[in-house]
Amino acid sequence: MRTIWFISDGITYGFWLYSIALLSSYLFVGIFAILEMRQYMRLRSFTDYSLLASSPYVPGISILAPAYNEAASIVENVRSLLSIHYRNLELIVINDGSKDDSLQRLIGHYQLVRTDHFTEAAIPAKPIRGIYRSRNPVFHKLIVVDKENGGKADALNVGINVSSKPYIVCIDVDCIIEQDALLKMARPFLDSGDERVIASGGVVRIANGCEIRNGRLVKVHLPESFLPRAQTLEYFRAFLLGRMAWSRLNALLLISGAFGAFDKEIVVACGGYNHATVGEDMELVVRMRRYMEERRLPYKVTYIPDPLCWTEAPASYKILGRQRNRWTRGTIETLSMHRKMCFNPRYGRLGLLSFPYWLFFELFAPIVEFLGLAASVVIYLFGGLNLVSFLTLLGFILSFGILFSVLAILMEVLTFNQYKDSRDILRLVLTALLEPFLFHPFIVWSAIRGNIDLLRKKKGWGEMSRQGFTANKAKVYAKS
Amino acid sequence: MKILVAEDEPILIRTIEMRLKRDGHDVHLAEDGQQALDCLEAGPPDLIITDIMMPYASGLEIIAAVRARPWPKVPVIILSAMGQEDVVLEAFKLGADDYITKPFSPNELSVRVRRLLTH
Amino acid sequence: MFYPQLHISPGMPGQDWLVLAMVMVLGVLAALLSLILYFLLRRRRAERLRIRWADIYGRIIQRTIFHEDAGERDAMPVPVVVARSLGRPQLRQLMIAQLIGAKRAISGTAATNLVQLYRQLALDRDSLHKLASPKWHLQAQGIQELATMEQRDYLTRLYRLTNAQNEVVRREAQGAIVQLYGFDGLRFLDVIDTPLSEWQQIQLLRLLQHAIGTPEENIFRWLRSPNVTVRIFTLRLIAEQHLQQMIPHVTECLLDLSGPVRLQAIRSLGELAATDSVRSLTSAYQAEGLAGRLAILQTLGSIGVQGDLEFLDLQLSATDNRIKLEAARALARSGEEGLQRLDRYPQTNHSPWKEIFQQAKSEWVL
Repeated sequence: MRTIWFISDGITYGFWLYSIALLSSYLFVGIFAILEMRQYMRLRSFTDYSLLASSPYVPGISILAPAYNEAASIVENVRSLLSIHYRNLELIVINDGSKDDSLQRLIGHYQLVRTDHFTEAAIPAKPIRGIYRSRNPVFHKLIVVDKENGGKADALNVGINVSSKPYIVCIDVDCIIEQDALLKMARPFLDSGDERVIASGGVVRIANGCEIRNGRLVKVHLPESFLPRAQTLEYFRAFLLGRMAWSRLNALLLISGAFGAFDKEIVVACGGYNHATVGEDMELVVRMRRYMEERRLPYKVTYIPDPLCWTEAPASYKILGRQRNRWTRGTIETLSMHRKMCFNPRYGRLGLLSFPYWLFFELFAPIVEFLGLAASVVIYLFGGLNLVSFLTLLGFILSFGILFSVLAILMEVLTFNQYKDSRDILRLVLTALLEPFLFHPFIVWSAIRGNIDLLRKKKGWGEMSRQGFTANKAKVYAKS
Repeated sequence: MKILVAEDEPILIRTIEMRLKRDGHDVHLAEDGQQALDCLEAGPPDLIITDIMMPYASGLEIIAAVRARPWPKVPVIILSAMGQEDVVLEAFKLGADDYITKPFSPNELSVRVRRLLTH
Repeated sequence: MFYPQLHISPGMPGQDWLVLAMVMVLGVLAALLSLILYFLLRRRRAERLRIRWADIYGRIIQRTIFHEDAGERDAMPVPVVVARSLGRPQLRQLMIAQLIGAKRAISGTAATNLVQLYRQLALDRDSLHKLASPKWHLQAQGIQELATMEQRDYLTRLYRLTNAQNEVVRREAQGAIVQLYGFDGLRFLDVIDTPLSEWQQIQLLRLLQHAIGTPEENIFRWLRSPNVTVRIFTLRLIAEQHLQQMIPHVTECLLDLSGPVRLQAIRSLGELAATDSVRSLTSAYQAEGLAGRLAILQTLGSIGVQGDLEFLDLQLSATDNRIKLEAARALARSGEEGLQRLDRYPQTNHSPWKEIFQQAKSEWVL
């Protein structure tokens, strides 16, 4: 009997210690985020971004938008991207060998003609079949690249090869980008000073349930169903708290796949996006940072918390599961590729702080939770579990989690306040209360599946069916 | 005269509206590029005043849309904060008749409108 | 202990602490929730207030803009109810914001009227009050407000802030002086030892767009400033203001010790269409790295190098393809002879020249 109690204690202690470490990190994140956000909001309150819109000294940006089988909405998406306020801009849409008529639609609507374009293949990639530009001077910023199918990383690399501007912004073509987005993202590149800003990350917000007209967000609403709502909350925690805090420490590891600006020269020097991982966006940022650290070059990775990019979140457990599965595999692959950095003082804060954090608290957390829970059940069955202490611990962790979510909601209310309807905020609070029971376990399970799938060598993205924004519009009108 | 004004800043659009109404014109307002394009569906205005940077469609798109129609020449005045040479040149190349940079004087605008309408 | 204990494993301390901790967490949670409710209510109230008055203020501003004959001091018509509403600080700030927005877009007599309204409503006191605030972002906002509303009476206060501790306040104060005094306000360039960020340069250049007078006497000094960013800024200023007479001095900067300065000099020569500087550009070519060479080729393309096509021809055989492309572009833009040289080039039908020439020629057409 004693041994079982001993094991039970050990596991409970272990679980307890891990949780304290995790929750303390949340605490620090919360505090740092508040301080950083306050500074940012103050700076923003009197900055006139329109100055940047018309200045010729603002660095040129190439928007890279890989597209695969998005014929349903591609014309509309490109239209909304073309209306972005930025002078020195080129929009490069990369048709990654779509099997539908995406290219034909673009050619027809934007009066595209095939042009001669010399492309230096700075990064090896699949061959280009043709490059198209518009005859209509109104659309002169648009370049459409048609290539053989090679996946997202490959498409982005082709985009990099074709681009002529010093900075690249990689987006998913069906994201809705705010018109001022690039102005705000370009700002850090202008303040730099000694440290070279190699990357600037933007916030992704959930577009489900919002009113969208002509490819532009008109009114922000909370999503109708629970799953996207829970993800909204999750994004708040990640973007308003997590990323802000890490940015303050200049140890930001991940830039969201949907939206980020990069210094092209460094990207090319690092070799572009890596096909070998499904988490190519995260992996690139890690590699870029590593590049700068290894050469001891002063640099910075910044982060803009303004809502700049809106995307459709998975609304069904099945698709959400696939997404999280992929994210987990991407994280593992990235961390594994760069494991040399772990606890390595040569990589400064990145090696001593960010990397271990990501490893122990982002990657291991679901595993620890799952194993801890499983072990507790086993021990309980053996009769060795101190049920009260276990439940108390669980209750404590739960409350802390809810606290963190509520803090994120408060942060949103105090800063950008995108959800003008007060009832939406209250619904979010309710979601925060339900989340630990209806959402979190599923996420943990998907992460575990991701681990298992990786061990079984599964690759690729799986089917990610998207409804497109036009379908959502019908839903919105049906609601009213 | 029927004048279409496309401008997304509320204070500006109201100022222009008031100025033109005092001059006796029939003013149609568009708060973004899409509204402006929709207005054009109803028929040709006698003059267009448009900003460049607007939601949905830029002023340059508006000019192109107007010039593509089989209408008698509609004078277009661009009113924009962007005063750089290449933007101005592009506007004229697309068919603009006049280009006023912000900050602008409402009285000056009124005079320019009158000038273009009497030709 | 107030809860039933099941299996009490020996050595399991801290359970009470755990319960205490959880109670604390729940307490903080309750506090946060109340804060959320509080802020939501406050937001709602503020929004309702704003909606009620924004339109009314807008109309006052419209009337002010079109007011003729504003000779006397308190000449702007302001209804009593509006004047009384300005007792509330949030509404005063709303009025200031609307005035600033209007003033930024409108010039002429209308603008003068707006400034008069601003003073008439004693809003300059609010802006001034912000200057005294310990919070840097309020100081910066106050500076901007005073500068936009042309409050030259407070010059000394603004000038003092150009030496403020906070970098943002310093920058805004410098911008304010330039906004109020044009080129004379650039005097701080003589003494500044911190770098001028790109953002600040953009801001200053924009503020100087409509400035009257010429900065020539000082430009000589600034081109020799020990501060690299000042030299760069001056070169940009010369280009923006189309100071053709400064071309010889810009050309001298092609020999500057700093790479970025030389780069800007090359670009400025392009914007000034400095046809006489073609020789200097081609002689500076050898010493430059890739970025400098590309910039020189671009500038030569935009200026038009009638006399020196031979030089461009040579660059077509450079190893770096980007050089080839820029040289081809410059030739394509140089008229008939340039195009002929492209066709006559020995490897014109081989890769990569074939594709490069095709692009250069088609760009010119498109």
